[in-house]
Formats: sequence, C-alpha cells, structure tokens
Amino acid sequence: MDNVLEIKNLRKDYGDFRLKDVSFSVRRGYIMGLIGPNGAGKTTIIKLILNLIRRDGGDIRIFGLDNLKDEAAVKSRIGFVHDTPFFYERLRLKTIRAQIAPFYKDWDDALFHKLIGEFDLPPKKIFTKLSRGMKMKFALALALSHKADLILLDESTSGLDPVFRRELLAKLQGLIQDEKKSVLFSTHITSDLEKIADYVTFIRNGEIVFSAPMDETLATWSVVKAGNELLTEDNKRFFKGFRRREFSFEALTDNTGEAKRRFGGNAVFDKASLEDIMYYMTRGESHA
Amino acid sequence: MRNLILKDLVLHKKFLAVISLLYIAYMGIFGSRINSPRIFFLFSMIMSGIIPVLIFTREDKFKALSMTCSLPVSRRQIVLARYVLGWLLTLIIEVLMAGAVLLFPGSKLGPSDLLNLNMFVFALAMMTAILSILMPLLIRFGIAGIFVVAIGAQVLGIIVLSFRFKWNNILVALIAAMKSVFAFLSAGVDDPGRLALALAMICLVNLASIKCSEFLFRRKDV
Amino acid sequence: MNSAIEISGLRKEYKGFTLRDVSFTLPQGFIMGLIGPNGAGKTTIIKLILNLIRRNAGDIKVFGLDAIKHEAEIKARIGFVHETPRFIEDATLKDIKLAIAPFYEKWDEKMFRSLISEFALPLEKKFKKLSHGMKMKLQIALALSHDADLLLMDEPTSGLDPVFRRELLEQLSGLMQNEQKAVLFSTHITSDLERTADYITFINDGEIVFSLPKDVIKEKWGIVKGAKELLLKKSRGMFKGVRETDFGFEALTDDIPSARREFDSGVVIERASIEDVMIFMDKGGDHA
Repeated sequence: MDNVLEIKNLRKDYGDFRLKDVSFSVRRGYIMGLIGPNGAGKTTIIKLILNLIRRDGGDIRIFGLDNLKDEAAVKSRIGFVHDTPFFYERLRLKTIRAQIAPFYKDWDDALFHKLIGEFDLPPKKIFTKLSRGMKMKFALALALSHKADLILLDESTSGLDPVFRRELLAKLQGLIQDEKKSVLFSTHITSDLEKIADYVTFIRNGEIVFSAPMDETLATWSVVKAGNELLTEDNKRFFKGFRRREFSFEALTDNTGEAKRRFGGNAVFDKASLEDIMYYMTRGESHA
Repeated sequence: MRNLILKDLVLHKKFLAVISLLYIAYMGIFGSRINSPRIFFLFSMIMSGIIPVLIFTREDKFKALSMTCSLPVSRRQIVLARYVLGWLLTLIIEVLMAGAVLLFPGSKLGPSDLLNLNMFVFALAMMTAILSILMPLLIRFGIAGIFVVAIGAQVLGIIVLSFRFKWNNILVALIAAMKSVFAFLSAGVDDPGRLALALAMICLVNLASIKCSEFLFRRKDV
Repeated sequence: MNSAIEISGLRKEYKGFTLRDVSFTLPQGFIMGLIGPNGAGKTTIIKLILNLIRRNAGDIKVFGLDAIKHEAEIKARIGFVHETPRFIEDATLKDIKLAIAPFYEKWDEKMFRSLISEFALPLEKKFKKLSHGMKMKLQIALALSHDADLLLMDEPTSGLDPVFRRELLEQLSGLMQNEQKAVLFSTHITSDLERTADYITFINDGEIVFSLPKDVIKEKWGIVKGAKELLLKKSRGMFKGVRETDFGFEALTDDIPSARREFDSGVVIERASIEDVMIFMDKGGDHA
C-alpha cells in the first residue's frame, strides 16, 4: 500500500480554534474528498500540507518525503488550486503562464495549451476580466500542466456550473486511471464527491470524525425515519445524531444493519448522502 | 433621501474623519500665511469640494454602487442625495476651514476678510463649478471621470499652447472675452441686482448639472 | 393566484452576448430555481429585475407593478443577495446594518440579531476581513430581516457548507408557508433545488430552455440507457439530448411513458436529476 500523502498527529493552535491530532493518508492513484463545515479545518490542513502556515506538531510526508525538509522537491510535484485564484489581476493569461512555468522542470507547454483550448480560455485575455468560473479553470490548467503527482483542490469548484464540474470530475478521474495521480479535494459540493471520490475524510471542529472508503461509507450509514415513540433514550445513544420533528424523527446511524434489527418495519431507511452525514453530525442532537 | 445621506456618512465615517481633519489642519496653516481671502477660498473650496468626490469614487472603487441601487430608492433619489451630501459636506468643512484660519495664531486674515457677501458668493460659485462638472463625469466614467477632467484640461492646454501662433487672433479675442467676464464677475455683488443674477446663475448651473447627472445615471448599467 | 414576478419578451444586448426572448412567471407562494451554465444569463436576469441594468426590450412586473416605474416601491419588498457581495470594504458589519436598515420600513431588528448570532457573524469586524461565505451570510441576514415578499438571490449558497445550505433552504421553505412570499434563486448546486424548489427555470446562452414545475421533471424526465443498436434514427428526435459511448447510448427524455412504449424492453430508464437535465441539454450531442 503506497501512500502519496501521510499525515500523522497534525496539530495547529490558533487560540480559539485548534486542529488536534489529525491523521489520515491518501493512497496513490486514488481521489480523496475532504468534507466538513465551514471553519472545521479543511483549508488549515491544506495550508499545512503546503507549509503556508507552520504546524505546531505532527508529521506530514508527501511522496515519502518530509514536507518541510524537502519542501521544494515536494512542491514541484504538487498542483494546487486555491479557492480564490490569486494572480496578478492585470496580466494576460499568457504572461502569467510565462511567470509560473519556469518554476517547474516538468512543465508541459503543449499540455497547457491543450487545456486552455479545452477550457475555452483566450491566452491574450486579462485575468481580471475572466468570470469566476473561468479563473478557476485557468488555475486548474496551470496546476495540471506541470505533471503534478498530487493535486490539491481547495474549494475549487464553488461557482462553477454543473456541466463544467462534471467535466472536471471526469478529467480528474481520467488522471487517476491513466496516470496514477492522486487527488485531495476539499469541497462543499458533496454530491460531486459522491460521484468520483474513492475515499472521504470528514473533519469537524479540528478533529477527524472518520476517514474511510466512499462506497463503504455510503453503504453503512443511513438515515432512519420513524415515529417519535421509537426515540427512546437507548435509541438516542445509538444514533450519531437526530432531529426531532412534531410527530416523527430523523436520525443518522453508521450501522445500518443494527438499525434494521432494532426498528425493522417500523421505520423508513434511506441511504445517507454525505450531506446527510454532515448535517446530522453537526446539527443533530446527540446523546452518544 | 435622508437615508441615502446617512448611509454614506456612516459607511465612510472613518475616511471622512481622517481626511477632513487633515485638510482642515492643512488649510489652517496655509490660510494663516496668506493675506488674500480670494486665494484662501479658491484653494479651500477646491479641497473641500473634492471631499464628496472622493467619497463617491470610493463607492466606485469598491464597486458598491450595485448595492446602493438595489435598495428601495430610485435613481433620481440617489443622484439628488449625492448633490445634497456634496453641498453639505463641502459647506461644513469649508466653515471649519475658515474657522481654523481665523483661530490659527499669526493669521493675517480676519473675520471681515472671510465673512463677507462677496466671498460667500465666490465660494458658492467655486463649489458649483467643481461639483457641477465633476458629478456628471463621475457618474458616466466612474473614478476615471476625474482623470477625464484633469488630463483633458492638460491636453487642451498643450494643444492651445502648441497652436498659439496659428490661432493668435482667436486666442487674443478669447482671452479678452474671459477678462471681461472675470471683471464683470469680480465686480462684486454689492447691489441686489448683481446678487440676484449671481445666485440665479449658480442655481441654474447646479440644476443643469443635476438634470444631466440624472439623465446619465438612469442609463447607467451597474 | 398572484404573480410575484412576471417577465415577458425580455431582451438585453451586450457585446458578445444577448439575452433574448426571456419570459417566465413566478407565482406567489413558490420557490423557483434558476439554473444554467456559467455565463448563460442568470445574473443578467436578476440584475434586470432589480433595474441595475437597462433592458433593451420586454416587460418586467413585480407584484403586478412595472419594475421601472415603481422601482423604489417594489424594492422595499425585495430581499436581495448578489453573487459577489460588495460593500465599502472598511466598514464594519454593524455600520453596514446601520446604513441599510433605515431604508426598510418593515425592518425587524430582532430577526436580524437572531440571524447574526445563528450565522456567527462578528458585528465588529470589518467587511473586508470576512470570508466569501460570511459575506454571503451577511447579505442573507440583511435580506431576511425586513419581511421581504420576494427574495431574489444570485448564487446565495456558493462557498457555504452543506449544513448551512440545508438550514437556509429549510428556512426558505418555512417562509413559503406564508402564501404571499416568493423566492427566486440561481444556483449551481442543483442538489439544493431537488429538495426545495417548486419550479425550475433553465437558461442557456441567453435563452430560456424551459420553465417547469419541478414535479413534472421528477416524474416525466428520465435517462434512457441502452445498447447502440437500439438508437435508431427515428428515435433520436424524441430525445432532448443524446450521448453515445463505445458501448451504448444515454439519452434524456421528457416523456418517460413514451420512451417506455418506444423501447419496450432492452433499455434501462432512470429518473433524471436536475443536474442530468442540465448536462444533457447543454451538450446534448446530436438529436434530429
């Protein structure tokens, strides 16, 4: 088992927010989605991976190298797409490319031009005149053009329409299959992840809630709906989170089998989406 | 309208406070060193007249105009409010500047220099000139509007100077005309007839500018 | 039934893009989702309703009143959320509220305070220090605090986590219990619409593709999947969009019963999600 990214006991202290004991790994050749409410720590983790902020403890190894000691070597193989692409606003796309390309010894100009052709980006256009979606596409083209082995996307798809998002996802999947690249993808649009991610890591309040294969997660978690009389103290403890309504309740469980045994035909079982999981674990009451 | 004015005062309060203090202090020092009230009013009016303009260009810079236009107000109200705010700000700051000059130790200008009708009308005329020209330009071109004036004037000057020999006769006539207009204007407003005329002209120019601004703003895509 | 919004023959010309022949109606008491690819015209329509930009032709009536003639009157009843939130950057949130609240007769300070605390927005902070998501939340708080009869929201949920999105949408649904309210919101996150919208309007390249009740789409639109040979020339015409792969075809139909009759057996028909509809109709491939 080959891990392209290994995070162990990562810690970062901001005073009113703390990232505590974060550990997870991304296997080579797979896509991992990173989900969590705003402020949970997703961007912090990505910034720590890129050493944009200093960690207070723990280890980060990328391609087997230490991300601090071998920072330059590591970064030359990482493609990063930020949520707000920062480039010199008034430069033309081709000028920005000319600035960035020399940093990467594996820069592939032909690939870059193919990508911006595909994304419909005129090289002479000034960056600031692009719509948000097009800015994202440009940032992505840059990130993909130096043959990065690990691609980090931090909320890169917000503001993009479903048509493009699906193309992007297809492209990422293509990269994984053909070229054994790996992707770490933090996003709020969980429906996208359900389509392509192999693994999902859920972070909440600076702590990892779980990091597991996607299909396993979607198979074992479900939303249980039943009448309030079934919401006993014992059952409350069993659930990961529940919302009580006027006559019925909805609850999240990570053990569908056991739930079915407990409630049988008295409840309706729906597969939990990632959004459901996030919702009930963040807003649901929990007596666990 | 009151809401629009208050809105701008609240949102720009820090900027206003800093800029006003700076300008007033500057004018106090500057004004204390001169003995011509006309010079004082000329410079101080330009400075205080620019302040509302700066506020409007800030709104342009932050692209906050779309927010303003989404509020329950008509385009007309927005334009009118700008003029009213402009006048209010300029007059208030001008008064403060005059006060600073009068109070500044060693000041050569005294109350009689500053507090007379001629100077008052002169100040109003200056204010009108600045606001009436800049407002429509600001509305039409945004911040660039100021540069249109500044650079346009420079360019015009360069052209005129370049062709001064060729256009000698025209220029001489123009300058003579301007001279007589200034003479006419500078004769003061001591008699009611002239005062009425002056005030009427000031009102007219303002109204024309307002109408022009309204027209431009109604057509503006924000 | 009264209309909250009535648009007919709307036209706006730009260099390189024209919004043309746009007509649709949003009845009071309902939520309409406006979808379309980036640059399709969603923001343009919303700006035209608010008279932020001038139309070249057409009519817009809000609450039965002409959107230009009764501009101020209408806007007193509209809560708006712009795609890109812009305020004076160094103003604090408190100042912004102080500046804006007086414009609305029906301003509800209690509501605003409760929303601010629910959204965890720091009132003393300067606007420029907020993240995009928080800026959006501020706009949403302002829009919901004056008992607006129409909420006009352009990508209100972009950058917001699924938990917040779900709560917001629930809140909007709750508002609809009052039959006099209406919501029009454009979004790229079609999964949000599946849950809450009553109507879906799809715009592409400046033209309305359709404006239909969501239930119609849910019941009658489907994806037909089958082997290539089954896709005879005569069948293509019945589809809204077709994709062919090496192994077979997938096609979007707006009439599942007909498709069933046409193909008898040998195909799989799945219900179409809103995202499917967008994707098939945007790059539908060929259809006769």
